[in-house]
Amino acid sequence: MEYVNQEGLRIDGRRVNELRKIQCKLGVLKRADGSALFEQGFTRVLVAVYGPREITQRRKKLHDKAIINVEYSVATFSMTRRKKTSKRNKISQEIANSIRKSFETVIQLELFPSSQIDIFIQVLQADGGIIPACINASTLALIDAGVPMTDYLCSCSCSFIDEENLLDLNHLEEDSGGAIVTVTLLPEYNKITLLRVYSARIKMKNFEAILKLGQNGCQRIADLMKSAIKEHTINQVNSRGIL
Amino acid sequence: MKTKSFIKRTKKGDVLRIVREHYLRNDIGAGTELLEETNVYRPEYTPLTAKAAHYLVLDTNIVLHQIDALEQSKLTNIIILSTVLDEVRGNSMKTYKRIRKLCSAQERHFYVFSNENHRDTYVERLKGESVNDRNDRAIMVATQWYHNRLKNKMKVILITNDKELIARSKKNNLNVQTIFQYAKTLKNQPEFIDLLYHPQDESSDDEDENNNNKNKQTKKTNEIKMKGNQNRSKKKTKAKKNTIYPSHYSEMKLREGISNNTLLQGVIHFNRNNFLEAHVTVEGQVKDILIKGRQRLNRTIDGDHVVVKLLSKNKWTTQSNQIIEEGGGEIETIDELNKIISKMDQNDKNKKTVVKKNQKAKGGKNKKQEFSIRPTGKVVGILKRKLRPYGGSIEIDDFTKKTGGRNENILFVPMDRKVPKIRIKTRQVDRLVGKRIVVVFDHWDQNSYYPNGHYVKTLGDIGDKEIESELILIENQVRYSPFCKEVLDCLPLKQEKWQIPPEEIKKRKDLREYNIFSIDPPGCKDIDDALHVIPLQNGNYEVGVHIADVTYFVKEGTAVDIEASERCTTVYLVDRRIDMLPPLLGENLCSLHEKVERLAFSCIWELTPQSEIVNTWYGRTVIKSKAALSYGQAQFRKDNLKMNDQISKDIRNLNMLAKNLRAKRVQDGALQLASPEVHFSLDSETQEPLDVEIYKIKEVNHLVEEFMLLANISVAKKIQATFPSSAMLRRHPSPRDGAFDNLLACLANVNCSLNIESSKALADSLDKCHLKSNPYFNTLVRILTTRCMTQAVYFSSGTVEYSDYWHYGLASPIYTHFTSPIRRYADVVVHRMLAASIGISSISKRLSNKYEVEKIAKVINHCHRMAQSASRDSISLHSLIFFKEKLMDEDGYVINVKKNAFIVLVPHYGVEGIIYVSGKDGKSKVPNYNFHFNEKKQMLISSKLKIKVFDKVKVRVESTKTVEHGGNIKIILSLLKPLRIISEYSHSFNK
Repeated sequence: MEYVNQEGLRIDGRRVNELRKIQCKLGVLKRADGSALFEQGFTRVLVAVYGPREITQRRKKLHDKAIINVEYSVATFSMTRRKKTSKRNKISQEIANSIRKSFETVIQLELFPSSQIDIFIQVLQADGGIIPACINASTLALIDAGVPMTDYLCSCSCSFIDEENLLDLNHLEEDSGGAIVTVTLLPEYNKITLLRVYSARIKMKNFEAILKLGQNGCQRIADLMKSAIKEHTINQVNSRGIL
Repeated sequence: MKTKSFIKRTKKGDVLRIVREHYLRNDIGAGTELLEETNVYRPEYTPLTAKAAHYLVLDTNIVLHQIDALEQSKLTNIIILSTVLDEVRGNSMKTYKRIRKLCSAQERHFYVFSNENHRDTYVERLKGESVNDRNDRAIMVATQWYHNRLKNKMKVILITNDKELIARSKKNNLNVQTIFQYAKTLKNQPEFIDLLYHPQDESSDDEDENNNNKNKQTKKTNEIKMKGNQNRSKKKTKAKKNTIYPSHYSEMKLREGISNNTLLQGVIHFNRNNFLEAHVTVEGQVKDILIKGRQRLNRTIDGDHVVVKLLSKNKWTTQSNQIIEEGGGEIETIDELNKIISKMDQNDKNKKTVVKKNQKAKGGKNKKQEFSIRPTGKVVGILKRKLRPYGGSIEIDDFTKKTGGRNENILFVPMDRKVPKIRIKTRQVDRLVGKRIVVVFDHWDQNSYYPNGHYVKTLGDIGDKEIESELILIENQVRYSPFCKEVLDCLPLKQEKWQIPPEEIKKRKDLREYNIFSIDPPGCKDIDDALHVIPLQNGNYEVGVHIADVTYFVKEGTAVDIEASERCTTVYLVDRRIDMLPPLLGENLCSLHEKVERLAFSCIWELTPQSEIVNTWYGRTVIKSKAALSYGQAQFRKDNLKMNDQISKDIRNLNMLAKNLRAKRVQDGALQLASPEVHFSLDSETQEPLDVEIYKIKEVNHLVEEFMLLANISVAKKIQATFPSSAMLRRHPSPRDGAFDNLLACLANVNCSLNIESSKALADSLDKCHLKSNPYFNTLVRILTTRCMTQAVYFSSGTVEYSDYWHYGLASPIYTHFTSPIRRYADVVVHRMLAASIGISSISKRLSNKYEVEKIAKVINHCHRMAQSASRDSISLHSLIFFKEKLMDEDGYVINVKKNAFIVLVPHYGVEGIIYVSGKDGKSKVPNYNFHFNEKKQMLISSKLKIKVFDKVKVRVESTKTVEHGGNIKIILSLLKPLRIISEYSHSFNK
């Protein structure tokens, strides 16, 4: 399999440092406090946020700050073959955990003692880069819900395949056997909150370049998200007839 | 910056519908100097020049079929579309790699235009449109795009042989030509047209067809003129019956037959001595299927993957005992051949009826006859051809000499005896006479005796030693091109001045003070191994074998590793060596030269004086060899008891231990086999062979050999224990049933016998085989025994039962190759495994997967066989040159007897030759001696004389040019004693 041909094009026609087409929509679910639909190529993730609200499980209650509860599930129709995955399996739990941990750093939890924030993630279509898409979608949904955060959380995947650094892998590229590096960034502070290297090892000398590429990609996603939020807000304001 | 509209692309596999994104872009350039493009991504291609006469766009079929022509010719400024590349890749990965290579060649100005990803040239498949039609349309649209952009600036020509595409492109006012039309416009490259592959239906090329007809007519008139010329008579038969070969079954029928087991599939192997006989090895079946005769072979070529239909049992025959060479002088016309074959078949039939009668009478006593009858079949289909370029020369007869300059059909005679002659079309007959050329097979029609092919390139003059050697390399598929830049880039930067880095020394066991030395053939540059021995206080000895640490330099997966894994082995020809590793490594940095520090991989044992192993240590070391001895020097030091320096003493100690080891091995049943290996002494300047001698083995050869065997066996045990399923090992299977039948029959004639029950019994009985009248007899028996054996092979330990690990020749339960990593790739793999098994490095995913290791082993086995046959060919080439214009009378021995001939080996020169006793007409060549062949006794018997294997004869060795092989030189033996049979190939021609 040729992942990058000599003309510098990838299988789907992108260059090595290009993102797939990204579309975001906020407020897609009317009954949730906040929601967002995030599409990156054929990957599509729907997130609903509830809260901050009163805690449901008493023993988890913290007196000085809110807790975050993340539930991650993959739709049976999300992949080429129909497949049922439970919410309780290890991979789902791990993904949910890492998403929760990274949001604990940006949400101002101490403003809401003894309460909880629920993030429900549903993967509708999976075509590579699921974790980054979940994080991006959650950020948008949290903003839609009006949860106070110190910064956005933007994420994107990258890898080193065929002697090339690739940005934003689709599922073919994820299956290549190369390492999948997921970078999650606070775009304002340019700080990395979550870094996952998955499925293979990577050489130290290549790592820095990959990291830089990932950070760059995150910044570009942040810009797209910002403009989507701006547009959404203007629409919101317009619909209420304030302006 | 990028245009993002995306289109669904479906790809139906089993039942899956795969959806992929497909981005279209606007930043793909036309890749030409004519247009100034901004905002365009530039891949690393040399742009299409502004000076060119025109640009060419090629269709997929052109690339697929004419890749040879594209490579050989000097066509430049060609646009390759990504649609075409994708289609080529789908059809043939090999061609795809070749066209990719062409695209990156600087001087050719090929440009790959990604039309599939360009916004303006992407074509969506319409409803009801086939994939092929869509692709054709895509090619057309892309051409149109170029046409519009380069309007008035440059002519763009679409080259295709597809009629529909031509018609459609013409409608759109595009320039379009077939490759043949285009070739004719190339006035300055007349050879280009010869290079082209001619597809089966040449209707698109009317003009050429006319030419053909004209040629045929001239031929016919010529035919009438040359009544005597039998070669032409086959043309007449061709006119009479249109189809010569039965047609192949349809694909459906083949598949059906294979699935319900009425048809069998396998790989066909032709008989070296008889080109009308072949056998097909079918997987899962013990007995090969015999196929005899042109019709039954039905247009197959050696190595093809074929489908065979078994004949009914009453048609089953035995392998023939005749030697038939195509055009080898004995049989000249097809008619005669057919006669002979029918005669053979008749004989066989007669024999069988006799057998049956006998069986009835004797109640199945004649089992042996029955055994030699083998399942016989005919080819009904070819699944996959095994094609490669063939080297050889054109056939010269009186006819070809007269014409020239016109487009002419001539026959090409391949070097490989197993490949049929190939008909090629050329305008440059004059230029090809007496040259070595390379030809590629195109197709084989039902109504043509010979396959059709086309000319690829000329190597040089026949008989030129350089050219002939090159041909040997091509024929044996040896990679002999110099190492490319990527490979050389993997080597240490400081080249010759490289020194072992101090931190590397710290990691290793330091043996620099040890008294280590190496023993090799004189003039050896790649020293793989060195030895040391230290007497210990408890009476035992510490013995170390130190092997060059190639894997320190050749890391897995690097370019040099990949190159080595493709070369697999160093190939030794008489006058040159084709290295597996770049000379900087092989001859310098890895080679364990004397008095320099080198990295080694060592195996150190504590041995008792009886050579029992007490313990073993493996590890990476750094050594400094004290002396690099030749076999002669070492032997001298050992024998000369006055020499009492440390090394001489060590050699004597080692020799004592080696003798014990050897005795033990012989006791276990190790075989001592022989082969007529010869050594040429070459003229230092002209490299012409001056003299030939049989290689002599000294005692110290055995010394080195024993310790290498010990190291190999120890390492084999170690890696097998660590990687039970993926260790790279070497096994030597026991000989097949019946392999010794002929030899035993021959031995019975001289009252000797061999016990072939086990290797031990065989070794013992070989020792007893002596004839007082013939001192060479024992060696001769050993040579013939060697030829009955199967070949040793590499394998991955997980693919074979443990009991089958057995190495028959060495009588060792387990064996591998560890000691020559500079010249064998298997050893490199074993080094990596050993390093992993002693925990100093980790094993790669690839080497821990038994299927991957088996794959590597298969490639190595293949290359190894090829390398061996290349060396053999090189030796016979040098024998030819040595015998040029010489006439020598020598002693020889009969080593094989056939129905119409017998084969003589001349041990002094290692030369073998055929002496025919009966001619092509089946009549005896020798007056008063009417030989007939007794198969059971393997004897040619006449009333006055019997010729049997092991007979000592006197022969005359000479080399002469033969007519049919376009002036090939050949060694010819004539019998002088006990009777005169003068072989006369050439004399008729000279008259």
